[in-house]
Amino acid sequence: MKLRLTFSLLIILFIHCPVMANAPSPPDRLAAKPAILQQARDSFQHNALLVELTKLQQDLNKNIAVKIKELKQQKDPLLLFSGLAIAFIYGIFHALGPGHGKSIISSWVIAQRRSLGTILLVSVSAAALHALTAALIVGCTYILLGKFATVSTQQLDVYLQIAAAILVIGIGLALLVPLVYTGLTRNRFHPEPISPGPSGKPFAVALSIGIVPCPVTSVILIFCLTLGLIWQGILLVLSFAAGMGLSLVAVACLVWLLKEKVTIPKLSGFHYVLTRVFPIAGGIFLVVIGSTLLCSLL
Amino acid sequence: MKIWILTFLFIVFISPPAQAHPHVFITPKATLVLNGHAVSQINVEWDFDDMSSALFFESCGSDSAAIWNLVFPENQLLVNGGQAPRIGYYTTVEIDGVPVANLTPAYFTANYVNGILRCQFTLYINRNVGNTMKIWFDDPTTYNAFDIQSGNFQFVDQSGASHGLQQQTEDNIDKMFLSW
Repeated sequence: MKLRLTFSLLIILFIHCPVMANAPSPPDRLAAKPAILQQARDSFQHNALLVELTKLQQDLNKNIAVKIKELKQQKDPLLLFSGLAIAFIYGIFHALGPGHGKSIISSWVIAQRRSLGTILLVSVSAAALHALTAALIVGCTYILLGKFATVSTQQLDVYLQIAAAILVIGIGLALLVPLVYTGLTRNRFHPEPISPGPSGKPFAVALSIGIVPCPVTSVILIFCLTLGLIWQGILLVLSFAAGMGLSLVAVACLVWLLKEKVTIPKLSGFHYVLTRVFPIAGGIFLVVIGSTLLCSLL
Repeated sequence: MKIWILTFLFIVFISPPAQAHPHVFITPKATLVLNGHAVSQINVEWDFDDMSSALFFESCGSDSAAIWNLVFPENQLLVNGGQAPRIGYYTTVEIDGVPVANLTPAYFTANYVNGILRCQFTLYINRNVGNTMKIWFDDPTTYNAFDIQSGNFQFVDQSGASHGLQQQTEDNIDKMFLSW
């Protein structure tokens, strides 16, 4: 038991250390740090798994660029198919890194009692929106300004991220308010716990993840458009989005399956944690995550 | 069984919203200018990936000043939704185990070679080295990923001395080591 617990904690540390160390420090503070602390920071920041994931994405990025250039030279369906396959794999690995999308959807799945179908729909919609938002920005920028990208689109990204942060806070509150209300009602009028109804609209969850445009989708599309490959670019973006969707679906389904599996033994302490503590913690987590994002943007 | 389930739920549940996936891939090259134990400057070149180069060209054309602002923004826009102040220029030089503070690129130029964005700049060092010098490139936001290849690094020693230049990995970061 101790060995398993130690191993579990090591896994958590392995995944979280590079992410926790992402918070930037001012240069003077960095310079003032002793070398040993700097080394510790570097070792936390560069997790072997994430480094390998980065190298893999770099190769995929190069390969897809080569395929797109070849597509410009020859309109071979097999070439397009191999490009779509690379874009799909690129999407899978790109979405595997830590990100707010997986955190939000995992919190929502844990906090809510939803069917697998709804969870699949939200995951796929979030990935599709993530790619679609980027494609829409590129398209609209071209229509309005005659260019595929401008520096000002970065500012638009900031506005969209503010909107996403507000949505995340809203979803968190939508999860918390009924739980608090149910708790108060139970205490005052009902001795038995009342199961809260579903809250946190699935579309809002998908929107909060997908409204922030995916930069990789933008660059793939812009690269294709500058070479005059319009419909090929759209197909590649769709394939990339499908890959991202698969990763998101896999994470969401895994969380859902584990949650369903552990809810079987009722009346246990673990059941109480899953049905009472997790929904509240999930709501609080979303409010905190949204507030943190919003504060960093304003 | 429960401990594994709890572990997994804990990982996904409290996973912080940091972005840890790269979007821009840069192949750095550098020439170290030496005179015996004195290091005067490092001439750096960054070649961006094809797709990011297209994005930069669409955004700024060949305007070096505009590209500078995109490559080294005062406020870095993070994918996790936050913004961070510029925390250096993604370049670290360490002499005899001590990092060189306040590295600021000079003579920044940007041009396109076969559609690839090539940024060049100079880092003035003007220090004496005892035994070792390291150089590496790293973006703590992970937005830019650097692909270090030893063949892209060289040194020019005006005194004609020979040195060992090799690639090593420390804490999963690829670094170039120059030894005297």
